[in-house]
Amino acid sequence: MASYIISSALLSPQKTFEGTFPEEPITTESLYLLCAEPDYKQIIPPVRLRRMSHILKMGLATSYLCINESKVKPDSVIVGTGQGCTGDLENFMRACSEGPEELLSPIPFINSGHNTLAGQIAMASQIKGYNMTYLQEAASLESALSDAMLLLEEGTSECTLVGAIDEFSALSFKIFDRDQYWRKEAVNNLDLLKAEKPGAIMGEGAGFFCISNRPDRQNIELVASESKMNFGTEASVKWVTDLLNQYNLTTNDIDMLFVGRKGDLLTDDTSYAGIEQLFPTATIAAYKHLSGEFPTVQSVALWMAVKVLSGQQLPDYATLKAGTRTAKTILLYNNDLSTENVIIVRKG
Amino acid sequence: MTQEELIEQLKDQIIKALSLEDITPADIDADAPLFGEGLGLDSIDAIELILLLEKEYGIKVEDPRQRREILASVRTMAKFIEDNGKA
Repeated sequence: MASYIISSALLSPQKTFEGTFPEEPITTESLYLLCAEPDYKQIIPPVRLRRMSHILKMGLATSYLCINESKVKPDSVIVGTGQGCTGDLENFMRACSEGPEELLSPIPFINSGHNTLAGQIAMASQIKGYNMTYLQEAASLESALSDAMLLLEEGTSECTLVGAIDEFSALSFKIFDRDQYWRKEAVNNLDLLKAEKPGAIMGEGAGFFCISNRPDRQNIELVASESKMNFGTEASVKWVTDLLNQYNLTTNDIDMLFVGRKGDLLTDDTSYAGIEQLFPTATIAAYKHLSGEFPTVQSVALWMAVKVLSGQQLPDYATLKAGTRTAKTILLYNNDLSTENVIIVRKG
Repeated sequence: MTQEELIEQLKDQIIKALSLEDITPADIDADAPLFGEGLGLDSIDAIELILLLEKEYGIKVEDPRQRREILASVRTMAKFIEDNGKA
Protein backbone atom coordinates (compact mmCIF):
# COMPACT_ATOMS: atom_id res chain seq x y z
CA MET A 1 0.00 0.00 0.00
CA ALA A 2 1.32 3.43 -0.89
CA SER A 3 1.69 6.36 1.53
CA TYR A 4 0.84 9.92 0.57
CA ILE A 5 1.82 13.28 2.02
CA ILE A 6 -1.44 15.19 2.17
CA SER A 7 -0.28 18.23 4.13
CA SER A 8 2.93 19.79 5.39
CA ALA A 9 4.04 22.67 7.60
CA LEU A 10 7.46 24.00 8.43
CA LEU A 11 8.74 26.40 11.05
CA SER A 12 12.33 27.31 10.21
CA PRO A 13 14.73 30.26 10.26
CA GLN A 14 13.06 31.32 7.00
CA LYS A 15 9.49 32.55 6.59
CA THR A 16 8.22 29.10 5.69
CA PHE A 17 5.35 29.13 8.18
CA GLU A 18 3.28 30.91 5.55
CA GLY A 19 3.31 27.77 3.42
CA THR A 20 5.22 28.93 0.37
CA PHE A 21 8.84 29.50 -0.57
CA PRO A 22 9.79 33.02 0.60
CA GLU A 23 10.69 35.32 -2.27
CA GLU A 24 13.84 36.42 -0.47
CA PRO A 25 15.66 34.41 2.18
CA ILE A 26 16.44 35.85 5.61
CA THR A 27 20.16 36.44 5.84
CA THR A 28 22.21 36.86 8.96
CA GLU A 29 25.84 36.87 10.00
CA SER A 30 25.99 34.35 12.78
CA LEU A 31 27.18 30.98 14.09
CA TYR A 32 23.58 29.78 14.27
CA LEU A 33 20.10 30.41 12.82
CA LEU A 34 16.96 30.68 14.94
CA CYS A 35 13.39 30.13 13.77
CA ALA A 36 11.34 32.99 12.35
CA GLU A 37 8.62 32.40 14.91
CA PRO A 38 4.97 33.34 14.57
CA ASP A 39 2.97 35.04 17.31
CA TYR A 40 2.19 31.94 19.32
CA LYS A 41 -0.59 33.71 21.20
CA GLN A 42 -2.59 33.75 17.99
CA ILE A 43 -2.21 29.99 17.57
CA ILE A 44 -2.01 28.28 20.97
CA PRO A 45 -4.57 28.88 23.74
CA PRO A 46 -2.99 31.00 26.53
CA VAL A 47 -3.74 28.37 29.17
CA ARG A 48 -1.53 25.87 27.30
CA LEU A 49 1.05 28.42 26.25
CA ARG A 50 1.93 29.51 29.77
CA ARG A 51 3.92 26.43 30.68
CA MET A 52 5.38 25.68 27.29
CA SER A 53 9.05 25.85 26.53
CA HIS A 54 10.42 27.06 23.21
CA ILE A 55 10.43 23.64 21.54
CA LEU A 56 6.87 22.83 22.64
CA LYS A 57 5.58 26.11 21.22
CA MET A 58 7.41 25.45 17.95
CA GLY A 59 6.06 21.91 17.68
CA LEU A 60 2.48 22.52 18.74
CA ALA A 61 2.04 25.55 16.49
CA THR A 62 3.46 23.69 13.48
CA SER A 63 1.34 20.61 14.17
CA TYR A 64 -1.80 22.80 14.29
CA LEU A 65 -0.90 24.30 10.93
CA CYS A 66 -0.32 20.90 9.35
CA ILE A 67 -3.53 19.40 10.73
CA ASN A 68 -5.54 22.43 9.62
CA GLU A 69 -4.18 22.05 6.10
CA SER A 70 -5.08 18.36 5.99
CA LYS A 71 -8.54 17.32 4.85
CA VAL A 72 -8.28 14.22 7.05
CA LYS A 73 -7.81 14.35 10.81
CA PRO A 74 -4.80 12.21 11.82
CA ASP A 75 -5.48 9.27 14.11
CA SER A 76 -1.84 8.78 15.21
CA VAL A 77 1.16 10.92 16.13
CA ILE A 78 4.82 10.10 15.56
CA VAL A 79 7.53 12.61 16.41
CA GLY A 80 11.22 12.37 15.60
CA THR A 81 13.68 14.50 17.53
CA GLY A 82 17.43 14.24 17.62
CA GLN A 83 17.92 16.01 20.92
CA GLY A 84 14.49 16.23 22.52
CA CYS A 85 13.43 19.03 24.84
CA THR A 86 16.96 20.17 25.57
CA GLY A 87 16.03 23.66 26.78
CA ASP A 88 13.91 22.44 29.68
CA LEU A 89 16.31 19.60 30.37
CA GLU A 90 19.12 22.12 30.71
CA ASN A 91 16.99 24.30 33.02
CA PHE A 92 16.16 21.30 35.18
CA MET A 93 19.76 20.06 35.36
CA ARG A 94 21.02 23.56 36.11
CA ALA A 95 18.50 23.91 38.96
CA CYS A 96 19.63 20.52 40.28
CA SER A 97 23.26 21.56 40.34
CA GLU A 98 22.79 25.11 41.60
CA GLY A 99 20.06 24.86 44.20
CA PRO A 100 18.73 22.53 46.85
CA GLU A 101 17.08 19.58 45.12
CA GLU A 102 13.99 19.72 47.32
CA LEU A 103 13.11 23.12 45.81
CA LEU A 104 13.02 22.14 42.14
CA SER A 105 10.26 23.57 40.01
CA PRO A 106 8.17 20.75 38.51
CA ILE A 107 7.53 22.35 35.12
CA PRO A 108 10.99 21.98 33.50
CA PHE A 109 11.01 18.39 34.76
CA ILE A 110 7.59 17.65 33.27
CA ASN A 111 8.55 19.29 29.98
CA SER A 112 12.00 17.75 29.69
CA GLY A 113 10.77 14.30 28.66
CA HIS A 114 11.56 13.60 25.03
CA ASN A 115 7.99 12.47 24.32
CA THR A 116 6.40 15.59 25.84
CA LEU A 117 5.65 17.11 22.45
CA ALA A 118 3.91 14.03 21.04
CA GLY A 119 1.77 13.91 24.19
CA GLN A 120 0.93 17.61 24.02
CA ILE A 121 -0.13 17.28 20.38
CA ALA A 122 -2.33 14.29 21.22
CA MET A 123 -4.05 16.20 24.02
CA ALA A 124 -4.40 19.46 22.12
CA SER A 125 -5.76 17.91 18.93
CA GLN A 126 -7.54 14.95 20.54
CA ILE A 127 -5.57 12.34 18.59
CA LYS A 128 -6.11 9.27 20.70
CA GLY A 129 -4.37 6.54 18.67
CA TYR A 130 -0.76 5.41 18.39
CA ASN A 131 1.67 7.88 19.93
CA MET A 132 5.39 7.43 19.50
CA THR A 133 8.60 9.43 19.71
CA TYR A 134 11.82 8.48 17.96
CA LEU A 135 15.00 9.83 19.51
CA GLN A 136 17.62 8.52 17.15
CA GLU A 137 19.84 11.49 16.45
CA ALA A 138 20.12 12.08 12.70
CA ALA A 139 17.83 9.15 11.87
CA SER A 140 14.89 10.36 14.00
CA LEU A 141 12.77 11.86 11.21
CA GLU A 142 13.44 8.98 8.84
CA SER A 143 12.54 6.43 11.55
CA ALA A 144 9.31 8.30 12.27
CA LEU A 145 8.37 8.37 8.57
CA SER A 146 9.23 4.70 8.20
CA ASP A 147 7.06 3.83 11.20
CA ALA A 148 4.17 5.83 9.74
CA MET A 149 4.45 3.93 6.45
CA LEU A 150 4.33 0.64 8.36
CA LEU A 151 1.27 1.80 10.34
CA LEU A 152 -0.56 2.64 7.13
CA GLU A 153 0.57 -0.61 5.53
CA GLU A 154 -0.76 -2.78 8.35
CA GLY A 155 -4.01 -0.80 8.53
CA THR A 156 -3.48 0.47 12.10
CA SER A 157 -3.77 4.04 10.88
CA GLU A 158 -5.45 5.82 8.01
CA CYS A 159 -3.66 9.12 8.53
CA THR A 160 -0.62 9.71 10.73
CA LEU A 161 0.85 13.03 11.77
CA VAL A 162 4.64 12.82 11.55
CA GLY A 163 6.75 15.57 13.07
CA ALA A 164 10.44 16.37 13.21
CA ILE A 165 11.79 18.90 15.66
CA ASP A 166 14.97 20.16 17.24
CA GLU A 167 15.67 23.42 19.03
CA PHE A 168 18.79 25.50 19.37
CA SER A 169 20.30 25.47 22.82
CA ALA A 170 23.45 27.20 24.00
CA LEU A 171 24.62 24.12 25.87
CA SER A 172 24.19 21.79 22.88
CA PHE A 173 26.07 24.32 20.81
CA LYS A 174 28.97 24.23 23.28
CA ILE A 175 29.00 20.44 23.49
CA PHE A 176 29.12 19.94 19.72
CA ASP A 177 31.65 22.75 19.46
CA ARG A 178 34.10 20.61 21.44
CA ASP A 179 33.93 18.16 18.54
CA GLN A 180 34.90 20.95 16.10
CA TYR A 181 31.43 20.72 14.59
CA TRP A 182 30.69 24.43 14.16
CA ARG A 183 32.28 27.37 12.41
CA LYS A 184 34.61 29.42 14.60
CA GLU A 185 33.65 32.73 13.06
CA ALA A 186 30.24 34.10 12.16
CA VAL A 187 29.37 33.74 8.49
CA ASN A 188 26.63 35.12 6.27
CA ASN A 189 24.35 32.12 5.81
CA LEU A 190 23.98 32.72 2.08
CA ASP A 191 27.77 32.42 1.73
CA LEU A 192 27.90 29.24 3.76
CA LEU A 193 27.88 26.77 0.87
CA LYS A 194 31.07 28.23 -0.56
CA ALA A 195 32.56 25.93 2.10
CA GLU A 196 35.66 28.01 2.57
CA LYS A 197 36.22 26.96 6.17
CA PRO A 198 35.66 23.93 8.39
CA GLY A 199 32.44 23.54 10.32
CA ALA A 200 28.71 24.15 9.93
CA ILE A 201 26.30 26.61 11.52
CA MET A 202 23.70 25.37 13.98
CA GLY A 203 19.99 25.73 13.34
CA GLU A 204 16.58 24.63 14.53
CA GLY A 205 13.20 23.81 13.06
CA ALA A 206 9.91 21.96 13.22
CA GLY A 207 8.44 20.13 10.25
CA PHE A 208 5.13 18.27 10.27
CA PHE A 209 3.54 16.06 7.63
CA CYS A 210 0.20 14.26 7.47
CA ILE A 211 0.80 10.87 5.88
CA SER A 212 -2.31 9.10 4.59
CA ASN A 213 -3.14 5.81 2.92
CA ARG A 214 -5.22 7.74 0.35
CA PRO A 215 -3.90 10.40 -2.00
CA ASP A 216 -5.34 13.90 -2.08
CA ARG A 217 -5.53 16.11 -5.15
CA GLN A 218 -1.75 16.73 -5.10
CA ASN A 219 -1.05 12.98 -5.14
CA ILE A 220 2.42 13.14 -3.56
CA GLU A 221 3.67 9.69 -2.68
CA LEU A 222 6.18 9.03 0.08
CA VAL A 223 8.12 6.22 -1.58
CA ALA A 224 10.96 5.55 0.86
CA SER A 225 12.51 6.67 4.12
CA GLU A 226 15.74 4.88 4.96
CA SER A 227 18.76 5.34 7.23
CA LYS A 228 22.01 3.51 7.80
CA MET A 229 25.38 3.92 9.45
CA ASN A 230 27.87 5.76 7.30
CA PHE A 231 30.80 3.66 6.06
CA GLY A 232 32.32 6.06 3.53
CA THR A 233 31.72 7.40 0.04
CA GLU A 234 31.90 4.13 -1.92
CA ALA A 235 29.51 2.41 0.45
CA SER A 236 27.16 5.41 0.30
CA VAL A 237 26.99 5.36 -3.49
CA LYS A 238 26.36 1.62 -3.49
CA TRP A 239 23.69 1.99 -0.81
CA VAL A 240 21.80 4.67 -2.73
CA THR A 241 22.05 2.68 -5.97
CA ASP A 242 20.78 -0.46 -4.23
CA LEU A 243 17.92 1.52 -2.68
CA LEU A 244 16.83 2.78 -6.08
CA ASN A 245 16.83 -0.81 -7.36
CA GLN A 246 14.84 -1.90 -4.33
CA TYR A 247 12.14 0.63 -5.18
CA ASN A 248 12.24 -0.15 -8.91
CA LEU A 249 13.84 3.17 -9.76
CA THR A 250 16.96 4.10 -11.72
CA THR A 251 19.22 7.11 -11.40
CA ASN A 252 17.53 8.54 -14.51
CA ASP A 253 14.20 8.60 -12.66
CA ILE A 254 15.48 11.13 -10.12
CA ASP A 255 14.69 14.63 -11.40
CA MET A 256 15.78 16.55 -8.33
CA LEU A 257 18.32 15.78 -5.60
CA PHE A 258 18.38 17.55 -2.24
CA VAL A 259 21.80 17.31 -0.61
CA GLY A 260 22.66 18.20 2.97
CA ARG A 261 25.73 20.28 2.15
CA LYS A 262 26.42 22.38 5.24
CA GLY A 263 29.37 24.51 4.15
CA ASP A 264 32.04 22.38 5.81
CA LEU A 265 35.33 22.54 3.92
CA LEU A 266 36.48 19.25 5.42
CA THR A 267 33.48 17.00 4.80
CA ASP A 268 31.05 18.41 2.22
CA ASP A 269 32.69 16.97 -0.88
CA THR A 270 33.51 13.60 0.63
CA SER A 271 29.92 13.33 1.87
CA TYR A 272 28.05 14.52 -1.20
CA ALA A 273 30.13 14.66 -4.40
CA GLY A 274 29.82 10.91 -5.05
CA ILE A 275 26.04 10.99 -4.64
CA GLU A 276 25.72 14.11 -6.84
CA GLN A 277 27.67 12.36 -9.61
CA LEU A 278 25.11 9.56 -9.61
CA PHE A 279 22.52 12.03 -10.94
CA PRO A 280 24.32 14.15 -13.58
CA THR A 281 21.17 15.55 -15.17
CA ALA A 282 19.11 16.17 -12.03
CA THR A 283 18.52 19.54 -10.42
CA ILE A 284 20.58 19.74 -7.22
CA ALA A 285 19.14 21.67 -4.31
CA ALA A 286 20.52 22.64 -0.90
CA TYR A 287 18.90 23.96 2.27
CA LYS A 288 21.26 24.07 5.25
CA HIS A 289 22.35 27.62 4.43
CA LEU A 290 18.68 28.50 5.06
CA SER A 291 18.06 26.37 8.13
CA GLY A 292 21.40 25.63 9.78
CA GLU A 293 22.34 22.11 10.85
CA PHE A 294 20.34 20.01 13.33
CA PRO A 295 19.57 16.29 13.61
CA THR A 296 16.12 16.37 11.99
CA VAL A 297 17.07 18.95 9.38
CA GLN A 298 15.97 16.78 6.48
CA SER A 299 12.41 17.83 7.37
CA VAL A 300 13.31 21.17 5.75
CA ALA A 301 14.26 19.40 2.51
CA LEU A 302 11.14 17.24 2.66
CA TRP A 303 8.90 20.29 3.04
CA MET A 304 10.69 21.93 0.09
CA ALA A 305 10.31 18.78 -2.01
CA VAL A 306 6.59 18.64 -1.23
CA LYS A 307 6.23 22.27 -2.29
CA VAL A 308 8.07 21.59 -5.57
CA LEU A 309 5.84 18.58 -6.28
CA SER A 310 2.83 20.77 -5.48
CA GLY A 311 3.84 23.06 -8.31
CA GLN A 312 5.93 25.74 -6.61
CA GLN A 313 9.18 26.79 -8.26
CA LEU A 314 12.39 25.90 -6.43
CA PRO A 315 13.93 29.31 -5.61
CA ASP A 316 17.30 30.24 -7.10
CA TYR A 317 18.73 30.67 -3.61
CA ALA A 318 18.17 26.95 -2.97
CA THR A 319 19.43 25.73 -6.37
CA LEU A 320 23.00 24.49 -6.60
CA LYS A 321 22.66 23.19 -10.15
CA ALA A 322 19.64 23.60 -12.40
CA GLY A 323 18.45 20.56 -14.32
CA THR A 324 16.20 20.58 -17.35
CA ARG A 325 13.38 18.27 -16.31
CA THR A 326 10.23 19.04 -14.39
CA ALA A 327 10.61 17.43 -10.98
CA LYS A 328 8.38 14.40 -10.60
CA THR A 329 10.61 12.19 -8.48
CA ILE A 330 12.83 13.72 -5.81
CA LEU A 331 15.53 12.08 -3.71
CA LEU A 332 16.71 13.63 -0.45
CA TYR A 333 20.15 12.62 0.79
CA ASN A 334 21.66 13.75 4.07
CA ASN A 335 24.91 12.62 5.63
CA ASP A 336 25.81 13.73 9.15
CA LEU A 337 29.08 11.75 9.15
CA SER A 338 27.78 8.97 11.41
CA THR A 339 24.38 8.39 9.78
CA GLU A 340 23.13 8.83 6.25
CA ASN A 341 19.50 9.14 5.23
CA VAL A 342 17.48 8.86 2.06
CA ILE A 343 13.88 9.96 1.53
CA ILE A 344 12.21 9.57 -1.88
CA VAL A 345 8.99 11.34 -2.85
CA ARG A 346 7.25 11.47 -6.20
CA LYS A 347 4.24 12.91 -7.94
CA GLY A 348 1.72 10.14 -8.54
CA MET B 1 7.15 46.25 55.12
CA THR B 2 3.40 46.77 55.40
CA GLN B 3 0.96 44.06 54.37
CA GLU B 4 -0.03 46.04 51.26
CA GLU B 5 3.62 46.35 50.22
CA LEU B 6 4.09 42.63 50.81
CA ILE B 7 1.00 41.89 48.69
CA GLU B 8 2.40 43.92 45.79
CA GLN B 9 5.73 42.12 46.08
CA LEU B 10 3.96 38.76 46.14
CA LYS B 11 1.95 39.60 43.03
CA ASP B 12 5.17 40.27 41.12
CA GLN B 13 6.71 37.05 42.36
CA ILE B 14 3.61 35.01 41.48
CA ILE B 15 3.49 36.43 37.95
CA LYS B 16 7.14 35.55 37.44
CA ALA B 17 7.00 32.09 39.04
CA LEU B 18 3.89 31.02 37.12
CA SER B 19 4.79 32.71 33.80
CA LEU B 20 1.54 34.71 33.79
CA GLU B 21 2.75 36.76 30.85
CA ASP B 22 -0.49 38.59 30.10
CA ILE B 23 -1.29 39.44 33.72
CA THR B 24 -0.15 42.59 35.53
CA PRO B 25 -0.11 43.07 39.32
CA ALA B 26 -3.11 45.39 38.92
CA ASP B 27 -5.11 42.51 37.39
CA ILE B 28 -4.75 40.41 40.53
CA ASP B 29 -7.34 41.01 43.25
CA ALA B 30 -5.56 40.34 46.54
CA ASP B 31 -8.74 38.85 48.01
CA ALA B 32 -9.89 36.79 45.00
CA PRO B 33 -9.43 33.00 45.06
CA LEU B 34 -6.22 31.92 43.36
CA PHE B 35 -7.61 28.53 42.36
CA GLY B 36 -10.71 27.62 40.41
CA GLU B 37 -12.05 31.15 39.97
CA GLY B 38 -9.82 34.25 39.98
CA LEU B 39 -6.52 33.39 38.33
CA GLY B 40 -7.71 29.84 37.67
CA LEU B 41 -4.55 28.19 38.91
CA ASP B 42 -4.17 24.42 39.23
CA SER B 43 -2.31 21.84 41.31
CA ILE B 44 1.04 22.32 39.54
CA ASP B 45 0.79 26.03 40.28
CA ALA B 46 0.15 25.15 43.93
CA ILE B 47 3.50 23.34 44.02
CA GLU B 48 5.17 26.39 42.47
CA LEU B 49 3.61 28.68 45.11
CA ILE B 50 4.75 26.44 47.95
CA LEU B 51 8.26 26.52 46.43
CA LEU B 52 7.99 30.30 46.16
CA LEU B 53 7.27 30.63 49.88
CA GLU B 54 10.28 28.47 50.68
CA LYS B 55 12.69 30.05 48.20
CA GLU B 56 11.77 33.70 48.70
CA TYR B 57 10.75 33.75 52.37
CA GLY B 58 12.39 30.68 53.86
CA ILE B 59 9.07 29.30 55.10
CA LYS B 60 8.40 25.61 54.77
CA VAL B 61 4.76 24.53 54.84
CA GLU B 62 5.11 21.37 56.91
CA ASP B 63 1.45 20.36 57.12
CA PRO B 64 -0.08 19.66 53.67
CA ARG B 65 -3.55 20.30 55.13
CA GLN B 66 -2.58 23.94 55.72
CA ARG B 67 -1.91 24.57 52.04
CA ARG B 68 -5.50 25.15 50.95
CA GLU B 69 -5.92 27.83 53.61
CA ILE B 70 -2.55 29.52 52.98
CA LEU B 71 -2.94 29.59 49.21
CA ALA B 72 -6.54 30.77 49.19
CA SER B 73 -5.59 34.27 47.99
CA VAL B 74 -2.64 36.62 47.79
CA ARG B 75 -3.75 38.20 51.07
CA THR B 76 -3.79 34.86 52.90
CA MET B 77 -0.30 34.16 51.59
CA ALA B 78 0.87 37.57 52.81
CA LYS B 79 -0.72 36.98 56.22
CA PHE B 80 0.99 33.59 56.47
CA ILE B 81 4.35 35.22 55.73
CA GLU B 82 3.70 37.90 58.36
CA ASP B 83 2.59 35.32 60.94
CA ASN B 84 5.89 33.54 60.40
CA GLY B 85 7.78 36.76 61.00
CA LYS B 86 9.30 36.87 57.50
CA ALA B 87 7.74 40.05 56.15
